[in-house]
Amino acid sequence: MALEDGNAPDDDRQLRFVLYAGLFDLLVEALWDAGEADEERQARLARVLGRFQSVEPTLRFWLFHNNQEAEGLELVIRMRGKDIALHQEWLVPRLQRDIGLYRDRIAALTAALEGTTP
Amino acid sequence: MRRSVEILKTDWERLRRAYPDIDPEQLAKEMLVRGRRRVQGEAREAIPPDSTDEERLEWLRGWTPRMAASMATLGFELVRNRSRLDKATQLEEMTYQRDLELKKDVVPALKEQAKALRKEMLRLEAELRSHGGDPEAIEPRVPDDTVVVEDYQRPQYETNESRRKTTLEFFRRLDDYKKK
Repeated sequence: MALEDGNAPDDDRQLRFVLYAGLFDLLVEALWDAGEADEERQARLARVLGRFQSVEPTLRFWLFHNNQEAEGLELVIRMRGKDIALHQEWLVPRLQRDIGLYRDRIAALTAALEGTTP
Repeated sequence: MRRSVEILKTDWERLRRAYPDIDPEQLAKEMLVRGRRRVQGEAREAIPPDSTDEERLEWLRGWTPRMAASMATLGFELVRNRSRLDKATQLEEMTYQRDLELKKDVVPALKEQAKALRKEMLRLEAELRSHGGDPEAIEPRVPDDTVVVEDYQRPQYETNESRRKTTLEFFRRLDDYKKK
């Protein structure tokens, strides 16, 4: 959603909260206008508020849980990534170099041995 | 200044359904104006039980959008967090597979090959010595910084089957011990 406003909060989360407050203010107004009497409006608004209040603990729990899980996985990825880089960038090329060196020396030693054998 | 901010599509569509005749841009402006007004001042999270119906209604009219905004913001975070979690789960699986491939297949194969070649090289050096030759004079020489592979043993990875066999073996021995 794009907004033309120089005074909007800088922080995206704050701005989102303000926008949502406006969005629900408009929705509540629509609900309000649809009601014919104050008793009906009160009952509807109380029901809506109750629903939001009832989901709050669940939302907070899952947000916390998923955050923790994502952070844990990201830590594992970072640590494992370093290990992979060490193997890929250092150990594997070093072993390949060693294998090449051993092969060359074996060839040279074999040739030297052939020279010493009558 | 033009700013862009994300909200959930379902929330925006719900508002559009409630106000189908208002231009989307106008609706967005109205959201900001009303939102600012609604979050100004200190929020009253509860109302005294002895309040009148008018006071209660007024409180509900003011508090419900604010509470709903708070929940919607959490809901948005949850949706975004879920994609972060999905991405992390996928990346974790990828790095796990690559790590396993390197440690189970790539590196052990190279180390075993290096070990066998080094053993052969040492054997040839010994043989040359026994024929009166000097291996030190033969080029190319192997530098000191080679990876140590002489005592290398390929790591043994457990499988479900091997674990099952080990467990059964353990209880069999325990049973034999009790019989004695």
